[in-house]
Amino acid sequence: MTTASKTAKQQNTPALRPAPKWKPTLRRFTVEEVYMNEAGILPEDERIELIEGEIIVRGKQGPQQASCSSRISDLLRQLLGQRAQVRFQLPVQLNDSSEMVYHRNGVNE
Amino acid sequence: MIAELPTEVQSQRDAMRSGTLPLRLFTAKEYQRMAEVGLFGEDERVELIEGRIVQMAAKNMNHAIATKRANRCLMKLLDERAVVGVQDPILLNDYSEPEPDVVLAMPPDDRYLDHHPKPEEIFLVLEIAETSLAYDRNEKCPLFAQNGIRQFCLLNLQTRELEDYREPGPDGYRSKRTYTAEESFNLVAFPKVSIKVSELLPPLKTTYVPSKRRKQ
Repeated sequence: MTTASKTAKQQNTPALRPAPKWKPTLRRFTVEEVYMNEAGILPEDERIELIEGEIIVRGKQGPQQASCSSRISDLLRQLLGQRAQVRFQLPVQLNDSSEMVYHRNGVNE
Repeated sequence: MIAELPTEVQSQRDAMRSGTLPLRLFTAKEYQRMAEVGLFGEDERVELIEGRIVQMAAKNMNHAIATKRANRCLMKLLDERAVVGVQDPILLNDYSEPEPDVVLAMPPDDRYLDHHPKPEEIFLVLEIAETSLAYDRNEKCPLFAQNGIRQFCLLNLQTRELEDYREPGPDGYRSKRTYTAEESFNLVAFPKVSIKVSELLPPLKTTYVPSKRRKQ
């Protein structure tokens, strides 16, 4: 910086500071904000997830995936009974900026 | 404290950060609702660009002075003929609501009580760039062109030049001219109005001398 301004002075030209390049960054959301977000901003039945502050669209489940995941949940319930609660496609909060958000398509308990 | 992640997990995380997961894009309406319910902090500077809420560059002194100068200069030259917006939102399309540094819009100002200015109501968009030059030129400029902003000016504080873009189209602006500080450019909407680039630029040296403080 000092050398740059020196040369500029010597040449009697304005000092052109090499400006650092700026890149836009996404506004990230927290778990709390996503719930606030539910206050009529996003459609209730939308399948979304909060991953590291980004709100991600979850695609529609295909028939194979749906059948497989419900088999898994049935199997786990059968095997574990009362020993564990099987949460089927319900949110888990990993940290302040990551949560697998709910969806309501009739398969939740 | 945090164990090193397995390579595949790390690469998955990198993929997320580089935006390969389908982001939920927001409409201007949803974005406006978020602002209404107070989701964004008072001092948070964000704008909606193609469905993504992006954080805006911090303003430095040069940028602030150039914004003030441009505002004053345009107000003086155009008076009642245009509404000057400074860092106010404009509605480019259903998914884009940027806040350019200076916007010239159709008068009167009370027509914007129920909506932000739309492209057909906008005479000029001026962005002042120092650190955000590449972003303004490569991302914002085509976006303004695609949405029919008839004139886009980019004031380059690094080289002290003004880039004047005209004739918008889906592939960008068909006309681009660069003016040096000593040159003047005119406005598409008001061809007789000529503006000297140096009038918009921050001065190289200050002539301002603070008055001596009285001894107490």
